Amino acid sequence: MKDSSSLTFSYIDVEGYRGRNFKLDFDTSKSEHVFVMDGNTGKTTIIELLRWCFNYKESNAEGNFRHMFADPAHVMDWDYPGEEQECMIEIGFSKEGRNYVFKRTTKGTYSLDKDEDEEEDTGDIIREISDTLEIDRGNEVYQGDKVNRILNDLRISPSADYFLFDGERAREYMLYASDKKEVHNLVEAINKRVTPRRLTTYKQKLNELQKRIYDELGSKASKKGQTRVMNKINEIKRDINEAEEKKSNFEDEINIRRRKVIEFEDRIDELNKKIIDSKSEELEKRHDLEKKINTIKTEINSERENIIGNLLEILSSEKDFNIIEDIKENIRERGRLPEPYREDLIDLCLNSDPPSCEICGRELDEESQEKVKKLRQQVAPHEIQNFLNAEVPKNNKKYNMENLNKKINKKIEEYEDLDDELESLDLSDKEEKWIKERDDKRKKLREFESEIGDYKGDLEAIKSFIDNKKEERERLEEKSKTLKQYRIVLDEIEKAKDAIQKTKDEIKDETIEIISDTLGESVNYILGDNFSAKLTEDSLLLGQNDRFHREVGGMSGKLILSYCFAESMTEVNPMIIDTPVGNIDDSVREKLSEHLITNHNQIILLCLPTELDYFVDPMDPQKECVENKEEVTWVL
Amino acid sequence: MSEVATVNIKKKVNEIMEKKAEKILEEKKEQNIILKLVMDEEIENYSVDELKEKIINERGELDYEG
Repeated sequence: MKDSSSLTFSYIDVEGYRGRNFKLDFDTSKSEHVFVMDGNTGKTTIIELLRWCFNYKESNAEGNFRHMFADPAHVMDWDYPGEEQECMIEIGFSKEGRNYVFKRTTKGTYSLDKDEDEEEDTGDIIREISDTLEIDRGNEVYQGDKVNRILNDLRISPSADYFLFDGERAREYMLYASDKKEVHNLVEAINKRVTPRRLTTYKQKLNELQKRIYDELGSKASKKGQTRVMNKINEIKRDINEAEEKKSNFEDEINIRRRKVIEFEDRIDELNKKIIDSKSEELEKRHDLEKKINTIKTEINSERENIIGNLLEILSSEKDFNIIEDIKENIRERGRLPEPYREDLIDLCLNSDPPSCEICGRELDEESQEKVKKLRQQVAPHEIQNFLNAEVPKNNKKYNMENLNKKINKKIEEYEDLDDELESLDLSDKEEKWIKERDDKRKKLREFESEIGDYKGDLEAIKSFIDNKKEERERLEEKSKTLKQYRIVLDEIEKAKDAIQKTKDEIKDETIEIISDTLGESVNYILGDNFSAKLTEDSLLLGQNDRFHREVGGMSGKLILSYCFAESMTEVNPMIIDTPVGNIDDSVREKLSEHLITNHNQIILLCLPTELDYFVDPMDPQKECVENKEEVTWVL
Repeated sequence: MSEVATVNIKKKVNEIMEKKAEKILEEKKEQNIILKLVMDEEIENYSVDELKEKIINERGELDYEG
């Protein structure tokens, strides 16, 4: 079954990963390669390393290696903890006449330090993972994530979960097929398989175009975004309308006040004129009266100041009216002040031994002594005592109090007469009303002018707000127009995607049917005439005697079903199988072997020594026994 | 029996998937400018503005206004 256009592996070289060191060289003149390896010698590591290399691009490789049930598992050699390591896997293969060498190198250490839970080793400390793909002996060389893109184009990566087959993967398929909760994994896998690459490529291009548009316009290009813009425009329109209404109100208020101002100014002018006209005849008279009143006020004040300034002399010049002596006498008689200064007597009383009254000779008890002490506080100051004791000097200057009194009274009367006359000249009720009205109007006028100022400020602000909103509206309308234009491109993209989806759906059923038929034929050949298999959109069932059910078939039957399913799903031809017949009955091993030989251009089997019976017999394989450390110890 | 099974499955499936898909899409691309450009591998040569103009021109100037 050699086919030079099909994928064919030429060697797999492992150095250091998980402590494994060996090279599997495939004799490409043969289609079957059997490598006999004991348990725990690296069979699973090979399969898992290949899956890791094909499934995970360089930038996503760290932490994604799994091994049996450990996920993630370590890749560095834990027998050399703490040491710098450089592990390498190199895979040689050819396809469609071209030769490829894939190489992944991992630099790092294995750490025995315990993790946060203090339960396990920290494990791998990866410093660098690097991928290289060399085509046709260096004719083309690719590095980094680009390598995985090429593996994808060669359909190696999408098939890695199928053509790299082992018991663990078989168990997964059996689980997917048997457990309703897991069937979604099967559905996803089938959908992926039955979607033509071309459709996937078209869809990717449409997604890229869509992204390009979104990048240019942001999220606004979406229908929701466009609705948001339209809503915003409507919101702005509402804002503008409301603002226009306010602006109109402000203008009305200003006009109302302006009219009032004019009206009030006219009225004030009119009132002023009336007031001035009515008062012009009496203005001069009033002026004279005010002048006279002021003069008399000054004279009266002058007279009063004169009297007050000479009051003591005036009083003392009166023979029959010695008012000062009367005051002094009055003070003494009322006893508000004690006898003239007798502190010497108080001191004598208190300082005698024992303290005794100097007047009556009685001894002073403590209470009496306190009373005598308090007397000191009642003694009047010297100035008052001196004043009370002194004689008021007689003044020879004569003042006629009666004349003074008459003089002042006369001026006061004169003042009162003039004031009455002025009052009679003062404003009439009408004039008062005019002036009051004028003053009120002036006050109101100032209020109006102030309000006009305020409204003008508000008006300017609202005008500015409206202008800004109009600018924003225009900008958004322009954007909306642009969005609508871009929208049709996006709508066209959506329609193209729909067309792709419909195409996919149209061919899906037919594709599944073909796969199902082939699966059935394969199972029927391997397990016997009464067995078959059926694949639907959401189930993978083994059938026995035309009865299809999740529970049909024992371990052996289910393993065969898994095999056939994997063969159906892979898009490349070789199969690399770890422990190919571990749990498969001897009775079907030969048939399985024949089936594999017939259907694959290359079969690479990593076998336990116990698996060879019946299974290898139909083959004409390259057979080798592999041990670690790169040595082929014996050739069958 | 088995000789035609699994090997042919790839041929059959790929043939059906690729060719039939292409056939169906060939019909559909006449109604969708974008799909046509994608299938003809020309889409990368167009800017978004050019695509927009192309669609508008083919549909009629003011169609998008609605």
